[in-house]
Amino acid sequence: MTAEHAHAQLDPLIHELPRLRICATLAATASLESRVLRDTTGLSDSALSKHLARLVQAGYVQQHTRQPRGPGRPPTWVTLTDQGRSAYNAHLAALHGITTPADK
Amino acid sequence: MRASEFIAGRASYLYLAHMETNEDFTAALAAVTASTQKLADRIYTPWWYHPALGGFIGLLLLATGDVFDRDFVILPIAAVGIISLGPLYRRISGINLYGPHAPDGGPTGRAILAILVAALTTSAACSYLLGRELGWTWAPWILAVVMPIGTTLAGRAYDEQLRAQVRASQA
Repeated sequence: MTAEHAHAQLDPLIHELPRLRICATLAATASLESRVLRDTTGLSDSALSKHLARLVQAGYVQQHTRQPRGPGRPPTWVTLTDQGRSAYNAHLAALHGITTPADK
Repeated sequence: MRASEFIAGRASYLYLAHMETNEDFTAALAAVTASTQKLADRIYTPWWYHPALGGFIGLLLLATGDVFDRDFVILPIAAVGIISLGPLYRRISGINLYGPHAPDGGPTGRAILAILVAALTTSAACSYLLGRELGWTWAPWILAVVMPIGTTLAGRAYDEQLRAQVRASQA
């Protein structure tokens, strides 16, 4: 993969660091509760919500809020869609392509 | 490649290539690694999880070996207990480790699970034959003590493999 080709494979939506962190964390498991995603990415609730909205809009992420069972806010589970997983894997491969000298 | 895809790819190349240095891309990869490390550090089952699973398996073995008169009570308790532990862990941890894209511990993790399932199946068969057929009621008791210990040890080893796999997943 040439550097130019690798650059062309980068996904501008995922490339922003907070969204890259979100995708990396979600890609490592089946789904996560939003509080875990917030803690592992180090984002505030509002920042996480904003970035998730962009990813949901692009079809990269799905959110599912369970029915409330008692007091308190019901947990929201976040999942990387197949489309999101493919985009993230391609983006990650491109990043490796750019930063690995042998691939240039 | 369609013209629109080419233009979009070219635009992202021009944007990203001129806005960032190689260090920025390396930093992006470091952020990926840091996020997955943090997630791996959170994959810890509560201390009681595996002993409880082992306890329910022990109950199952005792019921199979006809040690109690009330199997119809013991069996559902053991089955419901085993089935409930997964969702309970999900609710407590906020991490779903079940599904097509969930980590499975890699080859070593899968081997641990396979050995555990084989040991459980063999124990259940032995408990049935020795306890129910031959009337050696001490045999199910031995299995009901050994299997929970084995389940706890295997479960903790499996957790370690899960964490290692998550840590290595983005490297």
